[in-house]
Amino acid sequence: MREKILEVDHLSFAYDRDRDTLKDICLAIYQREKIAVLGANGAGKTTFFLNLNGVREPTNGEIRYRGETIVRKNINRLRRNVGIVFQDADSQIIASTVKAEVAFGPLNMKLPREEVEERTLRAVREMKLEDHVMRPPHYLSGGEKKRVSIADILAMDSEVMIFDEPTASLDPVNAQVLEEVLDQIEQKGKTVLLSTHDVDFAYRFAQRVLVFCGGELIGDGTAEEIFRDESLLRKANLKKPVLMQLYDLLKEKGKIGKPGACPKKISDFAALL
Amino acid sequence: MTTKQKKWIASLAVLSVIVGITPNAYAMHIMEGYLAPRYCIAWGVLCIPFLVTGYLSINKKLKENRKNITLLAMAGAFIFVISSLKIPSVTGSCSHMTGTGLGAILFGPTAVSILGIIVLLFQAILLAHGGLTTLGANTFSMAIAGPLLSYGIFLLCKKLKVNRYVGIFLAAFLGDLFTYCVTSFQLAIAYPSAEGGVMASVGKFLGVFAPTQLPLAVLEGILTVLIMIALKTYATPELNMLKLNMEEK
Amino acid sequence: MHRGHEISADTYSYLSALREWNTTYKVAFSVGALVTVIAADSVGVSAVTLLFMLFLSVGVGKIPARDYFRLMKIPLAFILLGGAAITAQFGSGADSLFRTRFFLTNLYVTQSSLTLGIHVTLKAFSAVSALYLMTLSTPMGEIISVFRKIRVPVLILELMHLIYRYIFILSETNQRQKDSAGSRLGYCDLKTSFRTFSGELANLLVLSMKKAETYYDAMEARGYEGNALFWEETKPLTAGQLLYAGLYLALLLGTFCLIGRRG
Repeated sequence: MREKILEVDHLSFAYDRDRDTLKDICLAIYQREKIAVLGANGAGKTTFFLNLNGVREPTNGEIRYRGETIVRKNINRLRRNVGIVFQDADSQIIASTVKAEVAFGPLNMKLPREEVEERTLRAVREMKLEDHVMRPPHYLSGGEKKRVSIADILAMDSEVMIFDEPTASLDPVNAQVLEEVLDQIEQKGKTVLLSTHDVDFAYRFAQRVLVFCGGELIGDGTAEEIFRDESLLRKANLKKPVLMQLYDLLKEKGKIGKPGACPKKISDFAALL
Repeated sequence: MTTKQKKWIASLAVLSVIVGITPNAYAMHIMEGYLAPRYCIAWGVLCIPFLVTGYLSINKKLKENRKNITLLAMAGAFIFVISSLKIPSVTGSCSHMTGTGLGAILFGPTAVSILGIIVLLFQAILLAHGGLTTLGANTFSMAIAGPLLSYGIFLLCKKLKVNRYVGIFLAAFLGDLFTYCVTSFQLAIAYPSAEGGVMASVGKFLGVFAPTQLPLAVLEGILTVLIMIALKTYATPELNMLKLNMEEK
Repeated sequence: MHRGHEISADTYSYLSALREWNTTYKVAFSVGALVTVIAADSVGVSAVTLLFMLFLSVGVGKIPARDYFRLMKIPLAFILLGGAAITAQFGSGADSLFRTRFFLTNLYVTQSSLTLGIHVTLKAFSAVSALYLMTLSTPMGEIISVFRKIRVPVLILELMHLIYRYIFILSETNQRQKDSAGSRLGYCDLKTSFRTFSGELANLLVLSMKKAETYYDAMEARGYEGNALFWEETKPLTAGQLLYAGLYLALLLGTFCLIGRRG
């Protein structure tokens, strides 16, 4: 069994008294998991992420990081180890050069200057931003800003990295780059959570899928399980991934004889045929 | 042509020249290098009590809730941005709002003093409007005197039950005029006339800047009212947030 | 990309060849020259400074000369109007170079008022050029780091950092608002334009207040605890850089000697 990193225990959260944004969420997150979080706009995904990082405090229930219950006193442990890449890069970027921006997190971690610089430059290299180190964020393109916002979190070297709708507003090339980045992050042994509306992307990426609807966690299982659950998909307004539909169709027509799970990537699909 | 007609034509000619050479009418920022060191220091010292008050009040608001920092910074950026935008015009000349009246009404005069000095510093550094040595004088006229008068008039009109929008117009319009008068006075005591001294000089500075500043004050009043009307149509939570966090108690 | 030309000093500050200079030294040089100009109050010092700053910003800093002169024109309107007000005098007008009836009084120019007018104008341009040495070569983040060194309260520094960043976010948003309003005939006539303009600003305000909360969350998510720390680059001070200040001082000294001998 893999190490359990985060444990969410009966978590509820409300912005105002009359309405819970998150209702009684229970789950555990293990090391090196790749999790996709699905759900309509306003289903509570972003609020859930903010709770995981400790920016929002649960109204009820609790979060445990490696067995330690998070209260106000040790909240920084959570913030240090769970990083969020926000959906809108502009809302995250605050410093006046790329380097200062990426160094913001490590500086807040009170690391020595040399280490801050080393981590910053490493993250900058990983995101291929070397040519922009001294440029201000307001002269960067959308894709570059997104990369800066990812470098921000890479430099903090958090154990868990959360991406809030990372592919939204990216062009196909940048979306491709992002997927490669996610692979790299996975190889470094990080746990990744990401929210998306793109079921094909989620299917390709995730081993595990969480489905939110109206603030409740209505589905938690492997990608295969979740996308096979027709009633769940209908309830959450989700569609079956194209690859899965195609697989079912081909199987129905008798083109695929061998039993087994539906492949996740086009290349695997080709091998199957 | 009578002499009177000649005079009118001459004055009109002078006026058109002045308007012609000021295609970019900003509020009257006293330019870098325009004031002798003693005036730079004197105006700066005069600002200190107001700035300290502003600093303490902001500090208190942040102690109450740290999240106000981004709200305050947004307010500052907003004032900078509205003062850098061109007001729509038919003639092709471009003028800019000062935003001090609006700022004072929305965020309160104490917060505006601190935000104002930062905005003026940024205007000097980024846009070359005003300057470092004249920062004290400009802060006094634009971030302290103008907003204070605006806010006072706004409150007075509220108390006297004057129509809300008339009150807002007067606050923004008179605040702008007052800033322009204070700046003229600041220039005049630095450069008094040979005959008639400071008072004559005030007249001269008021005169040369009148063609740009008077229309600007009227525009400022109208636009501030329009913005406040537009804000009124928004859901109350946002406006309450402003009041809750910013308005003086 | 930022499309407005208004914030052009910002663009140059990232491109200037002087960017690698030690920040504190550069700011001290610029402010020192500025104070010298206004304190010396002399035509010679003003002229020397104006030329030397032109040499530094354009010659050494490689700001294109055309752009530099365009930037020098920004304060032109104020300087000319102010100069006119200082030069023109009203009253009886004894020993004037030029005099004309003006309504009930005389408008006249004397030798001394003309000299003063020209002098102040030159001084203002010279001071602006000294200011430009700093603003056209030092990005805002670095200027703020100098404020930190002179013990400006942290709260103010933090506000400055955030305001600087938000200015660009808000003006970008406003540019988009303007384009979309324009595409829907929002600027077809003056009355509509006014309504559109004020609507945009009201919208921008509400939007910015709403965003402020998200921005705070994003800062907090990265460990911000009410005391923003920003990375500051250390830029070494070299003999080459000091040479320029030495050259400037030598020129000033020469000017003072010349003035001294003459008067």
